[in-house]
Amino acid sequence: MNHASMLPASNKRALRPIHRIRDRLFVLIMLAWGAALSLASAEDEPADFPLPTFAEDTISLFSAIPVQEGGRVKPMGTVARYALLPLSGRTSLTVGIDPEGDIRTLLKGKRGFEGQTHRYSANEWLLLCLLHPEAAHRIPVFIVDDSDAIVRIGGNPKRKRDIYSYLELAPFQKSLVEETGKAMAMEDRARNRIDTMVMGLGQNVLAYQQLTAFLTFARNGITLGTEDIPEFFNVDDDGRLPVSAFLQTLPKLREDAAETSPAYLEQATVTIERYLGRTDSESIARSRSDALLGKWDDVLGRIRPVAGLASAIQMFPPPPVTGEGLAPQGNLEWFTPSNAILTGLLFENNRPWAIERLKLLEAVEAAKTDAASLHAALSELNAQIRDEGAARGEISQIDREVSLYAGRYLNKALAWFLIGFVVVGSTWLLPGSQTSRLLGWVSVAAVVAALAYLCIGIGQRCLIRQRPPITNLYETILFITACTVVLSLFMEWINRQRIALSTAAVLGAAGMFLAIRFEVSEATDTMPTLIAVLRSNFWLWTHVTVITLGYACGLLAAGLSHIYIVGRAFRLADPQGDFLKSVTRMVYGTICFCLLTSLIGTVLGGIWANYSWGRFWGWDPKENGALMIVLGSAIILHARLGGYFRDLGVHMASILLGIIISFSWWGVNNLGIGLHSYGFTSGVWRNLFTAWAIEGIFLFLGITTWLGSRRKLKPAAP
Amino acid sequence: MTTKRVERGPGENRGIAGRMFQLFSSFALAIWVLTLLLLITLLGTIAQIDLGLHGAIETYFDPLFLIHWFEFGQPRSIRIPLPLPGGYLLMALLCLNMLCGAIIKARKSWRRPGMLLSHFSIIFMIIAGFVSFHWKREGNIALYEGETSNEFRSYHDWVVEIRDTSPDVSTALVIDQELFRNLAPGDSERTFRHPSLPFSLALSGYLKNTKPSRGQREGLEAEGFFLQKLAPETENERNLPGLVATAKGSSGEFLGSGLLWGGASHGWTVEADNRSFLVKLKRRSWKIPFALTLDKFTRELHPGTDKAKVFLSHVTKTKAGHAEQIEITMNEPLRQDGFTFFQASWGPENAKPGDRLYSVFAVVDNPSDMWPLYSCILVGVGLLIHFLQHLVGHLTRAARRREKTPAS
Repeated sequence: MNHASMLPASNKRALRPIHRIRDRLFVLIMLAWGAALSLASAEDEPADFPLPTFAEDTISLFSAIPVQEGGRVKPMGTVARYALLPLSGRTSLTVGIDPEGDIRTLLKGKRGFEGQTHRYSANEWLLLCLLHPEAAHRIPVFIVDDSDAIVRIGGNPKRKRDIYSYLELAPFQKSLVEETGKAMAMEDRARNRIDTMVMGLGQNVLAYQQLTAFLTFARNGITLGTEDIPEFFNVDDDGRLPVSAFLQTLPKLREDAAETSPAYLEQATVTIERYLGRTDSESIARSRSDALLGKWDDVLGRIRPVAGLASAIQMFPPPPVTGEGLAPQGNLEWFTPSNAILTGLLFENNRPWAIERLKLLEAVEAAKTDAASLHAALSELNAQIRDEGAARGEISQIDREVSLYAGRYLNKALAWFLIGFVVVGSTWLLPGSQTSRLLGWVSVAAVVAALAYLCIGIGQRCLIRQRPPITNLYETILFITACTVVLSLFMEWINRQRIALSTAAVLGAAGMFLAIRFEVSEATDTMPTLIAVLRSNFWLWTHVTVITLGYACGLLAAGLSHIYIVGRAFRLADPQGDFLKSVTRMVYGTICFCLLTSLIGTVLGGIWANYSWGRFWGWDPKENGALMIVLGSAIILHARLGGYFRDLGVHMASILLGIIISFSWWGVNNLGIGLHSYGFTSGVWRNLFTAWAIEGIFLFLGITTWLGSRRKLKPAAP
Repeated sequence: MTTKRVERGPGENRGIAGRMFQLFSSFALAIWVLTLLLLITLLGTIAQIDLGLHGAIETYFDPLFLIHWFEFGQPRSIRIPLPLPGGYLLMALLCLNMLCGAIIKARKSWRRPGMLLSHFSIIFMIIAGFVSFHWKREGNIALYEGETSNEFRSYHDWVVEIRDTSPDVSTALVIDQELFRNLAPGDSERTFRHPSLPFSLALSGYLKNTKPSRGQREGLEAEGFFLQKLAPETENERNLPGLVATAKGSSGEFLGSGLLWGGASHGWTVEADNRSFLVKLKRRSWKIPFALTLDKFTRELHPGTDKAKVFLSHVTKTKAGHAEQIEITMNEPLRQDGFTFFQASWGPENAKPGDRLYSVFAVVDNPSDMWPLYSCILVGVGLLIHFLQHLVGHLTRAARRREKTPAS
């Protein structure tokens, strides 16, 4: 169709001057292209940055080391990502050193900053924390949204929202611990914003301390002193020796002790019992009463605090013989270096296993100042873990997960959706021209490219988890966005008026933005293990997928209805013209599909509930949310069929349906009640109310348009 | 697009009956019912914050009518009532509306089989809900490893049980909660008699949630003992009701009074006519036609976390001397003799490795168990046929339009 025909004459005149920018369109597209590429590209490499940095291939190698965390085996890169996100609210840090030598984290990019900069990815930052904690302590990494939180702990606030280094917070740690304890003791509803912020800061500092202390055992070894220590320990001048060497020496220690004290074996038993928490007070008292036994107890006891620091990351598949008290879940649970030290100490069978693994980490620590040696040490560590992990069948998806995050598919999809939107927007400025048609195809290509990136991301996640696409709230965002775009492209294929194409680009970009923001705000692994009742691929495929498709349809209909209301309210198109009629047809069809999918999805949910709990319907908030979508869709269709809604009424009701869907999608999870506890998230109500207020403006526009049309229909006064 | 449709049907111009049919088959009624249903669903969902799930169901979804209170100010000092139809009434009206409008009145044509089928299916689904609402029995069995049971207890229903303690008597009399739960403290008591009982039992002062009180001498009182009134829990299963029972002999003489409390492990003893009776307030229980023994309960966690990966109960079902070993786990219940056993929860919460565990099975006896599944299949097929017919028509028309319109 000719797009110009749908514009009133006055509007056509108004649009003419805009044609002048046709020649600048190329520039516009290039700018969008550049913006997109900047989202996806890496930043510059450091030259001789004063803080330690690492070679790109070493960082990649490090990020691909398999570890176990949160109940599943994942790459170190994922651990790094969700270690940095809660602290800083970002997945990389741009660190600058100004001419005065002050180290800053550049929250708004390095534009205007004079000095050297370096971008630390989450992987590189974690490597820095592990190997050079003293340097990591200097980098501002703790984001504080309100300086009142810093005042609360007695610190020196900077700007209202700013980022602090560990060194800046360390002097106030005692106060931070106290205030965190107070906030944690409060009930959720009693905590104010600053309480929550202080509590988060306290937890973040603790997590950071655990990471930076992780390789302390490899860095410092165990300090035995220089007096009365047998030669075979081979301690250095400071009386220290590597933990692995200490474990290697234990048999000699046993022989030596057996010679000097026949009671050694008894003492060893007492020590082991104590580590396992099974010692009665009598045996402890007996061991302490004997000076010699007390001495050996002291030597063995010194290893425990050293080992305790190395518990942040479960790095090693468990040894052949797992010990009670070390890994409660036996052969399933990977060992931290701390577990490795203790099992080497307590279980003779596991000692060679432990020594071998601790040596790998000690080698990494020893090689940290030499790039080639570090790479070689990390390679050896990685190979060891991968060999064992592969033998257990636990690392088949590690490389896929590495590529998922390295691929930055969502960022690329966002960029291409934005490009698509800019380009399709430009076609509205050049209706009917050859350039417009060409740009129309470019925008289709951009949206399809974005959809492809999004689908690759979703597909990768399915393969990694061996699950259907939706298992948590985050994944609903990805799936709903993809469905919305697919449906839009389908409608575009039918109508070819670039209405649905524009909607696809806008909703796609909005969905990607929401997904990225959600990940940042939650700052937890987006692929967590599933609770028992969700471990059913059949029901996840059927109920969850279908009901989410219903959400997508309803949101798409609401998105399209905005176009109609704006078009009617600002008289951009003739209400009886083909353009707005097409929009109405699309919305009506989409709501039909919404009713189909939301009804079947809801009933399937009931059948799942009946199958799993024995009740078809329990009026749970999430069930009620789904029912409201079904009812909303049914009301619109019946009101339309009965003649109670005309075009404008359908679109206003469609926007109301969008509000209901947003309540069902996000709101009911945050009522703090119900069985569907997989999706609780913070700060949602504020965003929801903002969104609903904006929708209220569109509804107000619709009402004023309706009142205006009624006035026109009234006969003129005589 | 369709505009206002002229509705004609068999009920037109046929007096009051015809007008009633016209009303019940109208789009207007459908829209009103659906809108009100949406409204009470929203209000009932939000009300769960204060009332809990069971309270909200009892207030909004089960009754014929309700009054919703809009509350404003701090602390909720302004209250505005809004009378509304309840979920039960709305469902009944919706069913009637679909029957009259979408089945009886609707044009029967091969061009629109989808609508007929889908509306019929939804009527069937509502009927399934009706059958479930009135005839479903649900409760649970909690078994420690090694324990056996052949009865399950209700989550929400309480009864007063009167049992003759003689060893040769195996039956008991029960008074349903519907007969005593409206006896508020201060109201007159209600007396129950039975030919097999040598005494009458008067019940009074029912409180939904109570606890025995030592220091606080208020609430329910009988012979120097007190039950203190507590605010109802939002999780109804946690409420422990209490009431006062008074026994009188056949000639009306006072035999004694006692407090009946839902949390008591022992009942109140009444001596009459040289016989001893145990009176107890307990959850309603039902027999199952076999015995269930918990052999072993396994709770597997995701490694290194407290997140449950698998709950698994190994049970033995024994019926007429025949024993069968079965596994019950999440999403894989045991269906047997019309009863379904689901892995619901476990305990004790603070159990350490090696402690003896118990497993809780939700038990349901629902005559309309599988009806929603059949309905879902039918409604899906119906809607799919209907919307596909529309989509094909739309695509055909769009193609024709494109053919007629020259490329711009």
